[in-house]
Amino acid sequence: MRNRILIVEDQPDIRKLIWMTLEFGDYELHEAENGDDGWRKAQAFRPHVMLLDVMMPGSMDGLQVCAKIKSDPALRDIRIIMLTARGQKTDIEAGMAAGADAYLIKPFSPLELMDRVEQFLSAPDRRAA
Amino acid sequence: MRAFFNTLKDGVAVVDGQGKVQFANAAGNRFAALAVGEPFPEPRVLAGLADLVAGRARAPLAINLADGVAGTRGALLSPLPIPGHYALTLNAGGESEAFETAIRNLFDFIDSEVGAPIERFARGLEEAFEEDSVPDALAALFEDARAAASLLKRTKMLAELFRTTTLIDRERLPLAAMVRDVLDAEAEVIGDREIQVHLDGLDEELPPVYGSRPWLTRAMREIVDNALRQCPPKSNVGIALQCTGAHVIVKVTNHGHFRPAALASLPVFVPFHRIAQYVKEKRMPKKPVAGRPTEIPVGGPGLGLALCQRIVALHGGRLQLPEEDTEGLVEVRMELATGAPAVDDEALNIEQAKRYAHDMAALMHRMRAARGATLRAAGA
Repeated sequence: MRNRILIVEDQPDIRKLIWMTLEFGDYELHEAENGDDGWRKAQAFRPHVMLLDVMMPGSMDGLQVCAKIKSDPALRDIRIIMLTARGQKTDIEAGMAAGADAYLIKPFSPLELMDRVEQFLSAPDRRAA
Repeated sequence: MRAFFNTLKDGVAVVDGQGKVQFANAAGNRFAALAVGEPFPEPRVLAGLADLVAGRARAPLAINLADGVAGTRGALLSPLPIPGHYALTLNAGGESEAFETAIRNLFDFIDSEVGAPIERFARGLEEAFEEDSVPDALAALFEDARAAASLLKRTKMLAELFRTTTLIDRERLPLAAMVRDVLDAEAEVIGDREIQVHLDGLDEELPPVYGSRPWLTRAMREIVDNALRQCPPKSNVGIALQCTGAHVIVKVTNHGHFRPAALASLPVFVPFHRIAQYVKEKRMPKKPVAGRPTEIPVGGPGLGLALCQRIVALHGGRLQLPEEDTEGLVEVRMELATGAPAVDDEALNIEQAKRYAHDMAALMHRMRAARGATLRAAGA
């Protein structure tokens, strides 16, 4: 069974680049374009890893989706990598407070993205530093 | 025909193939002091004409003159039905454009030239008061000066708002914390006037709102300050946070001197809209009638809500004064759109694509290695 990854990102170009990067691995990929869609697909597909943009239009941003997932017993094992455009300390702290397992600052290195994903898939219980 | 051309605000000139002026209307003469029989006095127009005549450019040919011929933004060259003659239209800057420029210049002037003295003046007054050495006779004068300083500071703030775009930010706003910040800042007014503040919805989970925390807190404070000062002492002021679909609403209510319908009829979002009334009241103060609310309260010159509206509008939200009169309850609503602003950051996309291209070879190498290992395992 292939590992499932859900990409939640509102910017189509960035979403496409993440998708293309992850296609180098052997994953089952899903995508969502906003927080509400991401929350629905997380429930539907139960991904192993979720790449979640912090700032998104709509009634839920990445931080709220993350907090909801981590407070849901059925979903809390999903490993969440937050994507932030600014990398400000407050954003990162807010992400970690919401329960995120790791974060990547845009523009991020696709190799680093792959490494992070592999890290979680190979050691699912290990939280990132 | 000449009389007709002279009524036009745009300059019109007819030139021959060499650029010699054959005709110019009044506006054209004003812009460029054209003389019939002389070459048009702008090299860029002559160069454009030469290109047109030689077939190197297509008609109509637009020429940018923004930094050249006085009062014009550009010129348009077109051939006329008379062989070898060309019409040249000089575009006048529009009246609204001139007005906007004048206003921008005024605000630039206030912010850059007047701002610092205003701040020093206001600070000096405060310090003088603190020293407690002001003779009684000067106390009233100081009060007036203090009020003037406060107005000048607000004017400076308006100028700053109008001339800057940096007040727009994409920070995630903790609205409940901002309300608490505002109440802390207004603690003195609340205490002095013995106002009961009722809070609602501060603990509810609201959709995220993004913007500039300092500026939106300032707008919120202005609204709350208005509500606190315009209501009778020992009365109630309510602050509620609500969500209605795509908006989060900060609702501030009071039982004040305002009458909602009368308030709604005023141009409250126009800066200084109350100046005329303000001056009138200063000269002939009204005698208050017991038990009867004043329709237009004695207050500032009408700048606070205008500032708030500007701040909120720049964040894609809106400020509203509903007209419904519920037993004199006045409500001010600050509506802010939920969710992060949808932005397509081209620079970020390009940078991300560069990173992708940079890592492509390594990714492909890694994928080939993984496939090779899979094949070898299968072969073994």
